[in-house]
Amino acid sequence: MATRKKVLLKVIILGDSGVGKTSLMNQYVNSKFSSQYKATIGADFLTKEVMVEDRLVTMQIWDTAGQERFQSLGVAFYRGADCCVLVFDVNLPKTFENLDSWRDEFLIQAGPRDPDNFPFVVLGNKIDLEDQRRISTKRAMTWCTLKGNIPYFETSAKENVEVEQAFHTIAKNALKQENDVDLGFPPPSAIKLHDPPPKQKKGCC
Amino acid sequence: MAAATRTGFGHEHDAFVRAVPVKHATVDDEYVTYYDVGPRSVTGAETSSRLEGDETTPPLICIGGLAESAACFFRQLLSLGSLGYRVVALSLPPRQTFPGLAAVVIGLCAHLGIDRAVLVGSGLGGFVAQVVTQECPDLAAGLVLINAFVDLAHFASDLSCVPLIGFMPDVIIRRKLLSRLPSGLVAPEVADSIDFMVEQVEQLPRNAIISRCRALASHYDLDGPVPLDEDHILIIDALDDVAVPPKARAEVVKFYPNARVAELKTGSNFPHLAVALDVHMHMQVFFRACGWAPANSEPDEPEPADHPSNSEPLPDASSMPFPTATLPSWSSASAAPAPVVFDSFSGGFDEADDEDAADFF
Repeated sequence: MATRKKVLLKVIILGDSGVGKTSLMNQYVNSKFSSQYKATIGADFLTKEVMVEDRLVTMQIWDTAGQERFQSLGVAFYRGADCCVLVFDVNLPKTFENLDSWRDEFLIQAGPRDPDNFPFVVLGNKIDLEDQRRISTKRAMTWCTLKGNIPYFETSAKENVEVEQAFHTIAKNALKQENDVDLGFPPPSAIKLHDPPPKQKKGCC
Repeated sequence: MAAATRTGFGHEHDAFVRAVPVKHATVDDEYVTYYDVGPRSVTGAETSSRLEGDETTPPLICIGGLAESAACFFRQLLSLGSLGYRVVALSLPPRQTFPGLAAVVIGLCAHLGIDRAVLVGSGLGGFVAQVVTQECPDLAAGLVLINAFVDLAHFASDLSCVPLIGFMPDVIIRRKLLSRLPSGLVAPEVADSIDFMVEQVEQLPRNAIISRCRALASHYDLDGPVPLDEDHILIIDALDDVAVPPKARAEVVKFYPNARVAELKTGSNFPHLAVALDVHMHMQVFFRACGWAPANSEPDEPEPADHPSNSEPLPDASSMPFPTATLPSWSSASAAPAPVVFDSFSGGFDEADDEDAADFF
């Protein structure tokens, strides 16, 4: 069992609509970018296998519709998340101001065991539009420090700036979170089903 | 605490038994037991639903694995049924070949007037679903393979005693089945599913077990991927200890390289029992990607004020070990005195699951 234990990391991307959540995910997973805006319907995910600290992990990256939220997917959508990525558009102050509510929303819905240390990563996207920029690095960094030293990256899904690095940090922090959860397992209330004396081969007869 | 955990499915299953009638049909000279919930008008015939451009999701036909009966899909019947999907689950009759089993599934669909269906199969049921797709490509609109396999060769060594199985005492056969369940420390929700299955195995007819083992040992070959658009295949795979060997499950992904793969952190042999909510989420996302909407989806309808899940909290939510307060809102609805008639569900129930979520915006 231990030889094959595959690690699955569930990563959730949140942020206002149009900040580039889907583009960031597509750039990272498929190395593709399209400047055409197509609103995400509901939610969808992509998976990517990466090496993190000598371990092969599968990242299941969930992208939500910024305006539609998660429709009927309910609590299962947030449950079991290992890392939450908050995205804003550096050219639109409103999307930055909304980060607070996205973060709170996540913490309420996911109900992580240790909310203060749950790994978040903040991405300020669309830095390729340099002359329209409204949110300074300093302002974003201040917010991240205030919220418990959240790692901050300035990205451009269009020009593939910092995307790889950002997601690597996401994977690393998510893996750390996953390991921490493992340490807490079994919880005190876990049920122990005893092994039958010899380890039975799977078989039906 | 432990006692409450152990009966984790108890309340939900009680609600299921109270609300959903067992049905029987004679199909292909075989007496078949099945459940059928959701709008009967959904037959998979290509008609547009009220959501523009979206087709109504074809009925889901759930086929269980080696040790499973129709009741093992009770969480799908309850939750997905209340969301507006038509869900049918059947117990495979005692037949010893895969084409024989597939014929029963095809026959049942004909009996129910279902033209196209999403075949949901777990383990051996997943293999049956693939055989159905090959035998009757017009019937299969989609495939959901839960811990499935594409090659019977992986079971050859386990099944060397099948020729003698008819002579084995009942208790030995059932013990063998139970030995396939995960042992040791497991997550509470997986423990719940195991407890449920132990009971199921006790109730399973002897001839059903024997014939399914014989089918597994029959060297039936799928002869290549099934004739279905791979976009319409969803592979659900639990990453913890599962009786179907990992190699066999990895093959499924190679067999359908463009299929959608949903990996689950836990769930073990029966993700549709243990982590039903995650399974439902993946299925709903998959249906949406296929352009299918539930039959009675009314996304913009305001929440009815007197929604049952507002007024009646889950009786045991606080004693649940995990956020199982996330039980489908249906169970609280069923605790209300009035019986719920599945056929007449209207959109109101749709909103039930995301109601909590909506409050935060």
